[in-house]
Amino acid sequence: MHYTKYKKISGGKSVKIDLEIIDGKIVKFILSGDFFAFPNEKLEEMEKKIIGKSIDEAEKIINKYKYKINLIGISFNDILSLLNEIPIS
Amino acid sequence: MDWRLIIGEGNVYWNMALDEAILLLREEDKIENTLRLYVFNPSGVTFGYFQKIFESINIDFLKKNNIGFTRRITGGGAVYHDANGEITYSIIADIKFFPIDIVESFKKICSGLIEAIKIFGLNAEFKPINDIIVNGRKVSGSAQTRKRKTLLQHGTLMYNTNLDILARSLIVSKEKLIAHGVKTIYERVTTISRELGYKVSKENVIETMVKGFEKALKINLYRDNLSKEEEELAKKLLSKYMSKEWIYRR
Repeated sequence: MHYTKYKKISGGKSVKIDLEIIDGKIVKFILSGDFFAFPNEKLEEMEKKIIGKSIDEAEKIINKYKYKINLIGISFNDILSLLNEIPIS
Repeated sequence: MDWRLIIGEGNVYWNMALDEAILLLREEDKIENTLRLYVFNPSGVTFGYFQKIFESINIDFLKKNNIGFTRRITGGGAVYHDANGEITYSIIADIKFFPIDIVESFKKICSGLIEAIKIFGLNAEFKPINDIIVNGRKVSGSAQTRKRKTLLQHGTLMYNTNLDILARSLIVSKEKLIAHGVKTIYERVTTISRELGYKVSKENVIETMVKGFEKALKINLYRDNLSKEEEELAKKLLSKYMSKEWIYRR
């Protein structure tokens, strides 16, 4: 099942999650938008770590990266709120 | 404090390759702090590291009009770089020179552009996170990335950008315009010439940018040329910025 969740942040930036779940596991997880991440590579590392995990596990991974990445224009809570919109089947 | 000033022009791939080359070499202490002022010739489009290409730029229009496009190593949004209406700046310098706080560092560097715009008699203000506005409209946007010891910030100053081509080159969501309190891109962006009511020249804009950055950053800029190493590294990086793998990665 494929899900796309989008959030416009007050101030002008936006974030989108493209996510695909098969048998309860995330097989695709892509964040996109006009935000900044410092460093970029850590956010990509986080995306990769989420592959193969459940939504609950993904949430834990995202929470761990809160302290490793400085997001500007969006927040980790924005990402988590989008993730929470995805139904756990 | 003396900084290098590099003035030049190139296509979209070369310009982005050269920014990265200077960043990598500054990180290795092989070159001094640098301000680059450059033109995209021919006009080009760059878009942010995390942007999805098909949601950010109008590829059909760009291809039909021979406008090259590539992804940046910096975040942020898509930008139209008009060969006859926009100067891009890059600051590649010791990270210790800037506030640790990212928005504060954007503000500090943007103060160079604000000083430049003042010379034209216009009142410009920094609008967080990364914009400069004149009379409520955007004339400049910036983007930044950092290495351990080095900061790269590049951004635009639109002095006579063709806003019609800009509007057709970029995909700007209705939500984004609404977030900025406007209905069309014409209400959102402007140029120095449009605000002044007369056309300013590229040379004049470059001259004021030099003065603006010198004043705001309390630096002395001296004209310099690219080193052999910078040119060679930029040439190596060129293939990345031209590759489908990089451009279409999101």
